Amino acid sequence: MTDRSLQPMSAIEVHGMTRSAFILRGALGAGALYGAGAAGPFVRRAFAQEGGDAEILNFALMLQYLEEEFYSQALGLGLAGDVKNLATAFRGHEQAHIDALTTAVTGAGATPVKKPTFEFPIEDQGSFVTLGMTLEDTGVMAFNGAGPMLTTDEALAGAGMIVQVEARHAAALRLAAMEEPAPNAFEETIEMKDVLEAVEPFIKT
Amino acid sequence: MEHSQSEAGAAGAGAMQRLARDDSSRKRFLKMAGTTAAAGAFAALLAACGEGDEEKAEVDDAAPSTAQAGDFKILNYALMLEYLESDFYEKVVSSGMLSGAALEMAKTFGEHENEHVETLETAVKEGGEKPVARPRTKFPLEGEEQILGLAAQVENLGAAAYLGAAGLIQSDDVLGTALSIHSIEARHAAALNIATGKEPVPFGDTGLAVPAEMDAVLEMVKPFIAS
Repeated sequence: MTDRSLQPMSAIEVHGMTRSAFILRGALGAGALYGAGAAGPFVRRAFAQEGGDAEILNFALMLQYLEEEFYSQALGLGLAGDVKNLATAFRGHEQAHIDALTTAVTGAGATPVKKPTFEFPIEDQGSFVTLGMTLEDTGVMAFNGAGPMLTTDEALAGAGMIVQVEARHAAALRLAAMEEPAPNAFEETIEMKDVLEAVEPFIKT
Repeated sequence: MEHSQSEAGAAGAGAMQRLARDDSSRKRFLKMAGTTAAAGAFAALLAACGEGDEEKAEVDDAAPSTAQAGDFKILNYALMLEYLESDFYEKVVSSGMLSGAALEMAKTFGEHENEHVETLETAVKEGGEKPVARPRTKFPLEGEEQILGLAAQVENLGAAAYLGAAGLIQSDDVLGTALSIHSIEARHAAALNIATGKEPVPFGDTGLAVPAEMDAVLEMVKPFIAS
């Protein structure tokens, strides 16, 4: 369930649901077909931590690994012009988030989650923009969902500084895809477990 | 970018904390502040928003789910900012100075701000508190380019304000609401930055957004409050 499952779904408009939420729900639905065991080893590993802020920060770190690698792979596709500039800048932001979160996880007394290897179904500028929009929208919804669960002011402040940048990434990529930069007046949220299951198809090891 | 130091990655959480207190955001946003404050109306706003009242609860492991006393001040502060944004877009749309995609964007963003106003008013009222009085506003509108630039300033300030206030919120419910608005303001800001030829993420290499504190934000919006 990689590229073949994403492309047709991205073309379907569903009333009252954002496209990214729909794609995510589709991925979740496919996962559910295989039962709970479909949550791969990476999901289980990411949740093997002590819980609390460390677990949430590690979850955030995994998403930033995924996004950084996504932009790195995209830049190998021969992007051009404004889209290439966006990908280059955004990759740098994701790396800064990785560095900050790695230190934060360590500071919380936990071990930073190891970077998995990723594979993304992107082959050109168009598929990069479409999937990038979905990944960034998902990242924003994931951070917003996890935010209130953080217990320390430092973790919340850091997560806030990151999620605002993710929201700006999402808006820019949406504009590049000729979509509304802010499709709703309020951001939806997604639970960590659902996010991890949804991104599992992009994780090779 | 003025704020382009890249120590964040190296110092992690410590750097995040320092950035949270960094006042370079004030310097940046103060550029937009003029000198035509309407002292009377503004003083009333300050009182309603509890400016200068720095009460912050001790870190509480069991965060309450419902709004606490201090949360209403923040809700009213956010409501005041949303009133400003809502009025701004209303005046922009009715000015007739925008057309095409810029007009559509102003209409859509204005609708979002109206929804934020409704939600925040309801949140304040449901807690048995009184919503801040809707301020009378004034904005210099001179044409599409200037308007989009002003819109970008207003939205970037709004996003910074929500980010600065988030850490002061005690209840999970209010925090969830604030976060769900914060990232929308950020999306607006990014779109308007792009529309005006600026970087969608104007924080240099840090990759981290810069918050603005309540007293600084209130000072910056003074020029938009009519007497």
